[in-house]
Parts: sequence; C-alpha cells; structure tokens
Amino acid sequence: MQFLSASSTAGVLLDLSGAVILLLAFACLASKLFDRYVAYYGAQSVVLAFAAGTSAAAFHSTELWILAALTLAIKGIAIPVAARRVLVERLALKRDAAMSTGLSTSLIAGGALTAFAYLVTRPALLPHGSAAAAVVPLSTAVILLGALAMVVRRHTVAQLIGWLIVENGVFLGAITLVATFPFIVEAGIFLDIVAGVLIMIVFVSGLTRQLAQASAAELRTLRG
Amino acid sequence: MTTMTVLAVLIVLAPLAGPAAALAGARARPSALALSVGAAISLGCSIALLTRVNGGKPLQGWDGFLYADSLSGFFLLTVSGVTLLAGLGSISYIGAQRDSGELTSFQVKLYFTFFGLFASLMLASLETGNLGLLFVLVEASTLASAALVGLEGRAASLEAAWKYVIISSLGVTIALAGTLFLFYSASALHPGSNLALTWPYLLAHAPALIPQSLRLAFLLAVVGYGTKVGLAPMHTWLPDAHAEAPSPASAMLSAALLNTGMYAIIRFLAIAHARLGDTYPRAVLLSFGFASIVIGALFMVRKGNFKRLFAYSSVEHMGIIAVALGFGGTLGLYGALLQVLNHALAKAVLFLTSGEVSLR
Repeated sequence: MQFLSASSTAGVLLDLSGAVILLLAFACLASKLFDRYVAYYGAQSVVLAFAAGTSAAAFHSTELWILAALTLAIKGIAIPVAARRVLVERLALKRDAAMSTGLSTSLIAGGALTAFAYLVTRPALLPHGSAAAAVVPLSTAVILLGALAMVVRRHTVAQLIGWLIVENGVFLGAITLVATFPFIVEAGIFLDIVAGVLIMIVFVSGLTRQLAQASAAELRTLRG
Repeated sequence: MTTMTVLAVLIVLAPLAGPAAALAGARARPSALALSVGAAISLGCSIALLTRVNGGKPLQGWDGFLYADSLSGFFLLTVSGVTLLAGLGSISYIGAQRDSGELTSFQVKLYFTFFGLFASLMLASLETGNLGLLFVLVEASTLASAALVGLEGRAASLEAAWKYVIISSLGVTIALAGTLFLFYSASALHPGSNLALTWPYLLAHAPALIPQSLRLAFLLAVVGYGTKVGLAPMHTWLPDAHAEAPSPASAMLSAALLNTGMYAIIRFLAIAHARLGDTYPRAVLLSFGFASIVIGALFMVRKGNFKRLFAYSSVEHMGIIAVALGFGGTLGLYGALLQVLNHALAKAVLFLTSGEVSLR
C-alpha cells in the first residue's frame, strides 16, 4: 500500500477538501433551517466526490473513479434532492426548534471534539508526512461532529442527516488512509446507505403523520 | 462447487422460501409454513456443515468472501435454529393477528418479506470471511429488522423502529471505522485490497499488524458491534425494539441478531488477542460486560411490560457473555458459547410464549 505525501498536489487538495468538509459539518451543526441541513450535506458530499476524484487520479484507480462518480450521483445529488422533495417540502418542515443544548454550547463542544480527534489519531498512529496524517484527524472530527449533531439536534430529519455526515467522515478516512476497500464492499456500503435513507424517510413520514413535529423530543412514550 | 459450498449457499437461500411464498400471494399461515420449512432446511444444512468443518478444514472460497470454520458453524446452528422456532411461532401469531384484522394483508406480506431477508442476511454474515462484507451484511440486516419493528405502524412502534434504526446504524458505522483502522493496521504487509480484510489472513499475520491502529480498531469494533449486541451504555434501543416488534420478530432480534453482533466482536477479538495479548482486550470486554450486567439487572427491578423485562434480561446475558469472553482462555470461550446457545433457545421460546400469552 503506498501513501500520498502531504506536500504533493493531490495531498494538498485532499487536505483542503478535508478542511472544507469539516467546515460544512460545523455549518450543519450550527444551522436551524431544515433546507440548510440538506444543502450543507449535499455540498459536503460534492466536496467528498472531488476528494475521491483527486485520490483516484493520484492512485490511477478505476475503482476510485467509479466511487467518486457514485458519491456525486447518490450522496451529492440523489439523497439531497429526495430529502428535500419528500421530507422538507412535502411535510412543510421549516425551522428546527428542538435542541437539547444552546447553539454556542454545541459549537464549543464541536470544537472540543475536533481537538479530541487530533489527540486520538495523531501520535504514532499514522504514517509520518503522508496526506493521511493530515486528513484522518479531520475525518475523525467529521465523524464526531455528525454524532454530535445527532445528539443535540432533536428532530428526526436532523438525526438522519447527522448519520449521513458520519458516513461521509468514514468515507473520507477510507479514501485517504487505505485508498479503497474492495469494490464489492464499497458498493455494498452504498447500497446500505440508499436502503437506510429510504427506510428512514418512510419512518420520518410515518412519525410526522402521527405526531405534531416528529421531533425526538416527542419520542417519549418508551422509556426505562 | 464442493458439497460444503452448496451447503453454505443453501443455508443462506432457504429462509427466502417465506418471502417467495408471501410475494407469490400465499396467505399468512402458508407463508409462515414455507418460512419454517426453509428454516428447517437451513438448520439441517448448518448441522451438516458444522460436522464437516468441526475439527476439519474450514470452508474457504470466493477470494475469502466465503469462509466458515467451526465458530461460524456453531453460530449458524444457533441462528438457523432460532429462525425455525420463530417461523413456527409466526404460524399462530401472525395468523391470529391477520384473523383479528390487526394486520392488513399488505403488512403480512411485508412481514414475511423482511423476516426472510433478515434471517438470510444474518446467516450470510456468519459465513463471510471478509470483515468489510460482514459490515455490509450486518447493516443490511439492521435495516430489514427495523422494518419488522415498525411494521404495525402505530406511533409507539414507529418510535421504537426509529430509535433502533438510527442508533444501530450509527453504531455499525462506528464499527466500519474500526474495520477501516484494522485494514490500515495490515498496511505493512502490502496485501491486496481483499486480503487485508480477510479474517483468516489477518489472524495468520497478526504479529505483523500495527498495534496502535489495531487497538483503536478493536475498541471501535466493540463499541460499534456492541451497539447491535446491546452492551451498555449502547443498549437503549433494545428494550423498545423488543417490546414493539411482533413477538416472533422479537425472538429473532433477541436470540439471533444479538448473537450475530457478538460473533463479529469475537472475530475482532481473536485478531486483537493474537497481536495485543490478554490485557487490553480483556479490559475493554470486562468494562462493557460488567456495565451491561449492572444496568440490565437494575432496570429489571422496575416492573412493567414483560417483553421489556425479557429485553433487559438479554442486555444482562450479553454482558455475561462479554465478561466470559473477556476472561478468555478455553474455559471462558466455552462458557461464552454455551451461554450464547442457552440464551438463544431460552429467550426465543420466552418471546414466542409472550406472544401467545398476549393473544389470549
């Protein structure tokens, strides 16, 4: 397995994409409007597709080109469009009021998680001077921020987008750290994401019909 | 294809007889019967496979994507046995629900389709040597079973299904991150991309794996697959999903799905143990195991719905299995596997009985 060096063009581009992806995860965490969640997720996936393309060009890998195209088509276009049409517009969702912490607290927590990601992934774990050493802490931070968004944002749609951000973080780590999983595995992961989003959309629609807001704050029948 | 490959394929495909019958338009009871016959074939093939791989050579093929040793054989036996029990339970339970009009014929169709898929995906995940494919199959089985939990479409069952699908998907994604670091820990070996995820290869080359990366991989895998197992503190989806699913589906969740998660943890444990020694994996498993026992036992004190009670008992039993795995050694492993089988049979029968009781 060869590694991209951090100073090569591809390495710099990957690093830059990773930083933009992290910023978009923060934007999603801080946003209160449903169509913004979806827009930020879509933008993040487009940047991720660009990063996969960069990695594909550097490794001359056809599989990675296919994955980049799949990322753009499914995560960058299909899922955001479907989420907007089927959830945000049809269910007339506007502002997400339900948050379990204040906005500033969640952003500070996000900053702390980013620092934690660097703490965990830096020492002796990653090949020195490689692009992966720069990008994997970023991708770990994206994973943690997605999980944080799922925790502080109470609405089911926000939780769905949070899960997709976590997936994006894992994918970013995968394309820089190991170039690619076997293609069958990657294809299976894409299939799972699509099936997962479909089934979650069904649940969110069902919950919205039965509850006023489909906010997890209302999901309190079952406890203990 | 060898006989063993045929057996392995049959084990996975046979439970699909249920969905096939339901989609072809069969009513509730005939579909459940078809499902049970399929599960019985699976069980028979599992026994045949287990007798062949036990003590002999494991089954390997398709670039490592197909792999079954005696551990897989044991779990295949457990899961296919539980599927048979749950299929038989479906005959009366789903039949009665259909008769009383609680389920529409469309819901019955959905039930058998997702039930068969769920069983088949779990059995497939026990037969793959590729840890990436293991993730894909475990996540797919989560989705199929979430559809079963939300089947009745009431607010409470949708709530349970939502909690289940979102918590488990996040958990399994964390396990994928663990798989990623495991893949990376093999980078010094310069394997092809398939081999670095193939379990027997990783185990054989464990001494050459990068330890720091492997430590992180093992921890992430225990947290991730532990979410599916219901180890505390990732167990919160479990009582809701078990209480709200139709009883035969609860039996499958508790007795088959949790074990499949535990199987994935055992695979990671074997590699971690070979490279990192006893101390680190033991500390991880004992912490999660004891936490589960304590939390399971504490919540069981609260009286209430008996399906929730059984669910917390599952949390506790999974904790006991994790503790036994943490102690390790021949006796620890033997105890863990014995407990897996005991818990699977007892809990499956308990959930099916609870379904019969609630029908009265």
